[in-house]
Amino acid sequence: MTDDKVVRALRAALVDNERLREENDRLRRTAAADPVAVVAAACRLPGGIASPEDLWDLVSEGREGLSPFPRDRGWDLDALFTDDPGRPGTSYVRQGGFLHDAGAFDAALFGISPREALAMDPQQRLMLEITWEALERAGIAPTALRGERVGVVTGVMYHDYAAALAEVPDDLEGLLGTGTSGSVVSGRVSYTFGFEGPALTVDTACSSSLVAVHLAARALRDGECRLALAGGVAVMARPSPFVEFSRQRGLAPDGRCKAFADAADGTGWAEGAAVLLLERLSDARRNGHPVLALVRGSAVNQDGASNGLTAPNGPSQQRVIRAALDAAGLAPGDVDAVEGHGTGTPLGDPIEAQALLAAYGRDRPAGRPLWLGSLKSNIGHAQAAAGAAGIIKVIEALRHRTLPATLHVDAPSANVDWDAGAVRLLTEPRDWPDPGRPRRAGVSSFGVSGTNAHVIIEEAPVGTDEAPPPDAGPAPRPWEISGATADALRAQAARVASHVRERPALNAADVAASLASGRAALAHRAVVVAAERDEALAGLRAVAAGEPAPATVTGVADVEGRTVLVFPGQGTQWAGMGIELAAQSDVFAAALADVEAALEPYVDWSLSEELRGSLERVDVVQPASFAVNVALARLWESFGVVPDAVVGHSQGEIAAAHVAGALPLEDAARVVALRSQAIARGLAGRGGMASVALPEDRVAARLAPGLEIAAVNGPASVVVAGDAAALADLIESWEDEGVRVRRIPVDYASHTSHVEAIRDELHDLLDGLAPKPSQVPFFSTVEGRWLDTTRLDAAYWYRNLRGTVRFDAAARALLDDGFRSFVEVSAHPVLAAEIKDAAGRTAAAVTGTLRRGEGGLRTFLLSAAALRVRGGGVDWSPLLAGRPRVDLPTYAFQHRHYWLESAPAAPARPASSPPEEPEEAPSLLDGFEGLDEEGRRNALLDLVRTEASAVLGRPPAETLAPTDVFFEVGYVSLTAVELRNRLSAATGLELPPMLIFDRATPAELADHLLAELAATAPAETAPAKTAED
Amino acid sequence: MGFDAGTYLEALGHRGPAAPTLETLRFLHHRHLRTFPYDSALNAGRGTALWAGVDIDPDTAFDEIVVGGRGGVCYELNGLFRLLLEELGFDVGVYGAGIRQMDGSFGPDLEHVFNHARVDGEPYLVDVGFVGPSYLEPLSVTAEVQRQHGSRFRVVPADGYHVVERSGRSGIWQAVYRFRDKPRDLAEWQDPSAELEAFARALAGSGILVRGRSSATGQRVLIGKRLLTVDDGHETVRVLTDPAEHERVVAEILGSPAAAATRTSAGSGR
Repeated sequence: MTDDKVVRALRAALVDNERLREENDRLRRTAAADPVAVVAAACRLPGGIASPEDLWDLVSEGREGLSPFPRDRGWDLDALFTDDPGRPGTSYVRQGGFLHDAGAFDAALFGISPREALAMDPQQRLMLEITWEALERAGIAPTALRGERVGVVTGVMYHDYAAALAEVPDDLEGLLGTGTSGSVVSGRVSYTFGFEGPALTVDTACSSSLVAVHLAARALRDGECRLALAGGVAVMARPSPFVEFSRQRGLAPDGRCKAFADAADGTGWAEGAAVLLLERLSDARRNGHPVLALVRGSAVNQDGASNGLTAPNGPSQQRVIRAALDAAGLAPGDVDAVEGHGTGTPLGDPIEAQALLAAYGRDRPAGRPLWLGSLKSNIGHAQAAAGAAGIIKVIEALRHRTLPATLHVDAPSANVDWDAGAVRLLTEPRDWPDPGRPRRAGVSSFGVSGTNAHVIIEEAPVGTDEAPPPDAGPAPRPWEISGATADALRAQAARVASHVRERPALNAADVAASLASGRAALAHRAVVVAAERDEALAGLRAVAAGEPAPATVTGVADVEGRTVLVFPGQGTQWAGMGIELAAQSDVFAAALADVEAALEPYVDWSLSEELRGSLERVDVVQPASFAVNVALARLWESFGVVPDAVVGHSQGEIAAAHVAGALPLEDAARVVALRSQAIARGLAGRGGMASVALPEDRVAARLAPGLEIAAVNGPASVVVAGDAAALADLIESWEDEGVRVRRIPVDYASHTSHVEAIRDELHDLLDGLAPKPSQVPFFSTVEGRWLDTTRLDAAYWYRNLRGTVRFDAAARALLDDGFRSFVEVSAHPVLAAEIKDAAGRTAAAVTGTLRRGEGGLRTFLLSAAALRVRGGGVDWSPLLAGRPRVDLPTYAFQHRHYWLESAPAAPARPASSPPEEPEEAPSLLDGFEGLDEEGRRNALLDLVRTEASAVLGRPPAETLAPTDVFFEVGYVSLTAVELRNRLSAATGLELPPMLIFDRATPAELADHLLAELAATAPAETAPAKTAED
Repeated sequence: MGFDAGTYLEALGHRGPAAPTLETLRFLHHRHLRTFPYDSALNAGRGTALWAGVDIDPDTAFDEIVVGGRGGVCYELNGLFRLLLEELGFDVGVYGAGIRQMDGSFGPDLEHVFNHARVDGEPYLVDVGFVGPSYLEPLSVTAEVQRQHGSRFRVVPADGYHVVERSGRSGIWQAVYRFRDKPRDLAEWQDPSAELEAFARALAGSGILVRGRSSATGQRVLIGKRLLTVDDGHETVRVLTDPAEHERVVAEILGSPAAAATRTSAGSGR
């Protein structure tokens, strides 16, 4: 090489260096400016640890989580153990850190069939469940992130589930490929939750989950995703890791990792699953997510051509720590502690300790050594989950400001020169006092293939939270909970109840707010309306017991369809209506005041006074009912219940016209006030009205001269009106016949020819009305059809009073048009029962608003809850907005055991143990016999929806709705037969292949199964016919 | 009035002489499918004895179906049509077929009764008693593709059977039914096999009604609430969950063709 070339090369190198330095600075600035926050964590670890809190309890109490080998994985334990490390195929270790519930899974929640669950590596299933929990813990509804840029990076190193099967069961062929693929561990999470950020499965062996955190933090900083789930999972489906390391004599005979101890005699294998939900700090703050800690810096490197493929390399470990400190912009003295890799091997631990002494042990302030420990001393080496589990331990330590002890240290390893720097073992738990800067700890993981990772965790910055909102008084609030099945709902209610009971300081409003947001709204729902804790707890206990209670509403979200506000006519009024609500709801009070002002020019009485009065005069009753109903409609709207259509009965059409937008409040007030005064002047004292529970034709046949049909409300619900004397006679004879008949307390006969007496007067009084086209469609009960609301003029309001009210036809027409939510807006429901009758078996939600004598916010909320539990879109935020989020229990998974075992000893037996078998797992229909009809129907509906979703392989958020039409959501002939087969197997019924041609939706099918089961029940109790008969 | 070829031809809209040619057969086959709907409701009342009436009384069936306007099942529609073709001088006979089931298997061999005809020495399949989707015009017994109104058909040998296959615009070939090239005697149905009996029991037990009628360019097949419409080879599936609409479509399929046409055009404005 000539000098020239050397100079050029050097120059180029310098330029490169400069560019790298700039790049490095830029990255550091970005990282510091917007660090990555841990907003939630979830885990399953040995010792029955099912949450970060459980983990803390175990380490802070100095306990360990080791146990004998699991007996439910088909391992031949009798042949597995010997004390001779040289004997092939055996393990000299008899305990480890196992996830004894590794086979447990809630397949129904995730829309996964039992068959597919069985074929799925438990590592996939564990990550689904802890991901669900992590999202809930962050206050994010697990179903709310579909299509969002959420990344998933998962460390996985075992791919041995089903690997040793003697033969693949026929019915699992085609599922085991994805079921056991490592890539699908992360991909399945993305698919199931609908995440569209990058999904990666990382295998760097025992550093996998820490590398995953590093990559996920990078992806967040690079803007590849807005949230990221980083973690790892290790489940040993075969005992081979014990066998393999027994031959290498690498395992501690007692299974304990004696990290950094002189007594260290090998590692101890463990299992685990751990996940962190990461988000850029600025986003976490903006989104109101909890910030548990920051990922201040991280680095990954390799041992390279070291002293053997699997041998740890001290200099590389030092370098990865320095790189992480660099990335964090920190010096060694800025870090207080390290959660070490510390596997307990006599070779590895000293190398790690020396590297820590070199990287962290120098340049430290006097009296502040680096404190070292390892979670492995408690639970063993959780391998691909170890690093993320270590981070969770650090987060809990930060939260409790305590550094827990590391176990099994007889004396610090004599193979380490502990005087080379200030690093001390945590042989005792220590307080973690404020160092005058944020507390920090490093976490190390080193993989057997040579990939090292180091992550620096920093305590969460002190929040700039605004002052907590003022203590909310004991106003009624909804506590909403849900479950994918009826059992899950009950279990969830019990969980929330016991959590709240144990925490007397919890504010009821905060609990209600936290329940209402950040939870998936699943199919089985309950709402408890309560003002105070004890009341709420009683309600939750009732839900948990499956019992009705006055403060609870439960139901299945089977209603999908548009909403109608139904405004009844006269008969809903009661003395005192609206008073209590006006005191409790600003929205209602303001709306009521608006109507009062609008009525003022036309009346000589005060609305607020008359509402407290006896409400007897028609010219008071009608405007007062109108006022309450309009104000109630505004209250419904404030809870997100806005009409897709309105319908009114008799004078209810005036409120309907106003709410639809056809009449401004001033005009509507004028119509109701002036028209009721005309009634008082011209009609009062001349007639009467009565309602009777008979069909229209049978009523018509009995009408004497002077009597007419005023309204047809339902197939057996008619209002008769006319001359007072004739009406009295008819009522009397019906009473004699035992017919249900009720006199309506009015002394006039609207909707009859009597009204013609005030025809001209009404036209004059209401002359000049200018009704507008409405945004909301108006179904006329006068004309029995949708009406152009510009026609709601004086002539219409005369006909509204004169003509027969055809409410039955209106209800049917609205149902036929696909309206499914009916809200009767009034102080007392008078039409809801008629609408329910008209709906028949159609899944429709029908509710009133207030009730006679029950006119407060509580009753309103119970009515809103009735919509909500059937699937209605009710927005509780007017009552709950601004309340701080509190931690609440995560979802009550309904576990069944799924584990694919090989059965070479008994080839006649099918290799898979289908979970459908009763002795293996409970059926969805367990306890069916003990249920009432509604319970049975719900159980069948669950069964149908679960199986039907599973046949289509749907993820949880897309579980079939009760009203989904099978052939419109992906069913074809083949899948139709499969569904039939599953349902036949589950119910024991003989069902035709074309079943879903006729029973087109889950709801219809469940009804059919219910009827079929009822029809076959007696046959089962008949003596069995034998062949000899 | 009893069976009458003239009335029959008139009902099918045929004018003038009806020589036993392929052209006549084509015209009558298509018109038959459009004029007389398939309706399994008749079977619903018959319990498991689905095949008791295979040897129809021509006069009763004619009065009820051709004159009375009710729908029919395979052996009624194909039985009447066979008599008509015989009177016109066609060389016809009976075949039995096993229909492709939902899981892809085939039903028993005698499950379906249809006809074959020989015209100018060439064999044709003649079937006006199958709900479909299937051929609207007689089908030549050949593996070569035959196009009819946007759909394609072929008859391929498999396992000792001939399999009628159909493909719509989607391009996927699917079996319609399979038959043995063996002329049948209606007496064979009078002593049904155990398999056929079991099949009948399952079918009758389901209580699911099957209705269908052809149009100029396709067919409408209503099984339970699931309506399959084939038009020019395009297939659409709708499920009629609204009872009123279901009732209307049943009426359209079972009503007279003229009434159905009016209703369809009125309904399309919805």
